[in-house]
Amino acid sequence: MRAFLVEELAGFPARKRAYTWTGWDAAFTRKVAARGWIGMTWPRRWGGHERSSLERYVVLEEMLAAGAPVAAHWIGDRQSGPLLLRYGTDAQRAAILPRICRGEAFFCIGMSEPDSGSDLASIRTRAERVDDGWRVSGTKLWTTGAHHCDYMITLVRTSQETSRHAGLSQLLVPLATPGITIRPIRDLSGNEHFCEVTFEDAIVPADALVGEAGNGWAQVMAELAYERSGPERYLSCHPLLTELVSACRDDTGGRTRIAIGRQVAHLATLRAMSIAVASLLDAKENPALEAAVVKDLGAVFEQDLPGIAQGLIAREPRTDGTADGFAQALGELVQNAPSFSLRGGTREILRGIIARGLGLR
Amino acid sequence: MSDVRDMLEATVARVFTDGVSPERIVEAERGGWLGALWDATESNGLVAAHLSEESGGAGATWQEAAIVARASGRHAVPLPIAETMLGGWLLERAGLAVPPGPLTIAPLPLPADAFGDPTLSVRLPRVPWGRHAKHVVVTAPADRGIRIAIAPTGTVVALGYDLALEPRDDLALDAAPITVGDAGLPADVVTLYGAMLRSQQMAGALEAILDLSVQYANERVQFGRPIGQFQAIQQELARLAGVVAEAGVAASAAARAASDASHPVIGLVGAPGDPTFEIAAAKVVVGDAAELGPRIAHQVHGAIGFTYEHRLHFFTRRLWAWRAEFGTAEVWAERLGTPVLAAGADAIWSLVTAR
Repeated sequence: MRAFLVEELAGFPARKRAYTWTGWDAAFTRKVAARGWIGMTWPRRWGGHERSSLERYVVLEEMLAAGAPVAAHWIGDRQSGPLLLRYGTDAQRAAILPRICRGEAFFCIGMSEPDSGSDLASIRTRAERVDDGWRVSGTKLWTTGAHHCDYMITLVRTSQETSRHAGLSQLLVPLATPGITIRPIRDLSGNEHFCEVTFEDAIVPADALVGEAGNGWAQVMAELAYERSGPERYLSCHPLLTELVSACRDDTGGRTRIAIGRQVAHLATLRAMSIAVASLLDAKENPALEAAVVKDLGAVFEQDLPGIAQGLIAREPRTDGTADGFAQALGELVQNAPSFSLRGGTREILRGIIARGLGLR
Repeated sequence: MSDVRDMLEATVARVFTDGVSPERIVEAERGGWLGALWDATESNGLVAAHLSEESGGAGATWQEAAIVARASGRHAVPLPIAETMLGGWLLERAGLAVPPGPLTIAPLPLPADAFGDPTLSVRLPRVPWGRHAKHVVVTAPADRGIRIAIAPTGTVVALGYDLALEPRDDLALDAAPITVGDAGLPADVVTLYGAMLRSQQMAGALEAILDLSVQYANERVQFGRPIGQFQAIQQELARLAGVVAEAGVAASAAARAASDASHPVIGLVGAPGDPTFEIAAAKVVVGDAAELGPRIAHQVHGAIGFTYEHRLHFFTRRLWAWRAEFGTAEVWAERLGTPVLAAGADAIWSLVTAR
């Protein structure tokens, strides 16, 4: 793997390595797929490779550590595929999973909306049963990669119930469906990673339903454990740590050694915690609480690094290609760091989950 | 080996829950020796579990024996439990007999020629539990590995205390008879394994302050409801739970690495089969948690937690004392960071994934 990454990423600039799992490159994804590194744990029957989850974990962390542009297959491999494996029909699995494994079907996650961020159960995007399927109307927001993707697993309200958590369902929506408009949104660094996706009476087929109608909340919560505990929750800044060590190579001052050593200690521990959650997922447990702990700790760790790096190396953060690698990685990550405790569940929501797990009433 | 683990878990729960109370800890802080609790601890095999059966132990690994050290921190047990565990292990590694009774260790190695005579005359500063221990284990560097000696504890020349009022006494050995053996261990083995054991105790004390804080937040009513219902408190306690969990994982990794260590341990970060990486990482992570953890616990407890009457301080004062012992977080961070910087950027990832 390391040899593959060295070869494929030769000359890949630090600025782009700093995107890590938000860097989009479909051609790279197909090369990864050809190596059998997508859908690694899935059954052969569905195009998977029946490898262990630890082997998959190693592949993921090597990609992230190298700053490889993995966004095209990341979400399908991490959560949309596993969701279909768990709740999908055989027809859905047969149609979709082999294409994810070949690097030919890309997924995004349709959860947040303009008026529903942390309060996910308040979503208003609706799907009604009609003769030829489901009629979907509403708006999804902050949908990472939608402008490049083929499918969105969309959380919709399919009925009004007394409990807010009831009446939600998930639909497998082909984004080429008429009535769907995708508008990329520039983020503060000028990049276009996330999108607004509007549904204006878009008709998706009846067999687009994933799992049971009305079971959407439970399905989404299970999916979030995959989303929150992986190595991307503490390795987003790893390319900066690598650049920092290179930049500090001749600096043997105690302050530098202490700062680097401290990062390494926490990195190794977070990795052990994340791997432990992966084993729980493997054992079909639902480690939602443990995943929230990993993501919250990981975000603090990742967000600390740009400031630590700036404190050790007095160099201007820049994002232009003429800057050195350290300046580029710093320039990107200083700007991206605020998103680490927003995406995939805000810090406040995660800590609320942890507090409930502690038995605070 | 999981039956050893279950047995140890059950025994520490019984012995420490029954035997440790705020009154007993106060008694120890006033200079008392909790003889009955020590006898229960020793007779139940807790301080010798990790020794071989020939030495009176149960052949447990460090990973299993760490249960005892962690529980001693979780209950703030005012006895030389970690010290006796470490002393016994050093003696066994040097092929020496392990005597009954509380042991302690000299924190710093003596000069290389210290054990040339059959007797030893030396002053040992800040020896944990020096006044109560029957024997002290002393180390000195040798050409290959170290020499390890055991001596009667001699005379207490200065009574000292750490922040938790646990004894840290200056001992004077005056022509004390010593028994000496050799072991393939690094010169700073007491610091290394002391850090491993203090990390377990600190992880246990951190669990205790989390439990106390959650319990208090559910009981203390202000503005007409338990303060644990306020999001401001919930967010702080969730943060505390995170660092406590991280500390527990780091401490466990250190104990496992000590169990898996292939010999000789040379105390070098990155050396194959050497537990130094994990022990260093543990003391860093646990030390950092000992900074943030007590802050949050005290904040949640308010003024009552700042009184001597409340038991929170038995744990927070231990955390403040222990984080400075056997190397602060910064000392161990530097030990991790030095080889990383020397080896370059790629070394970080290889080091971390070699675990």
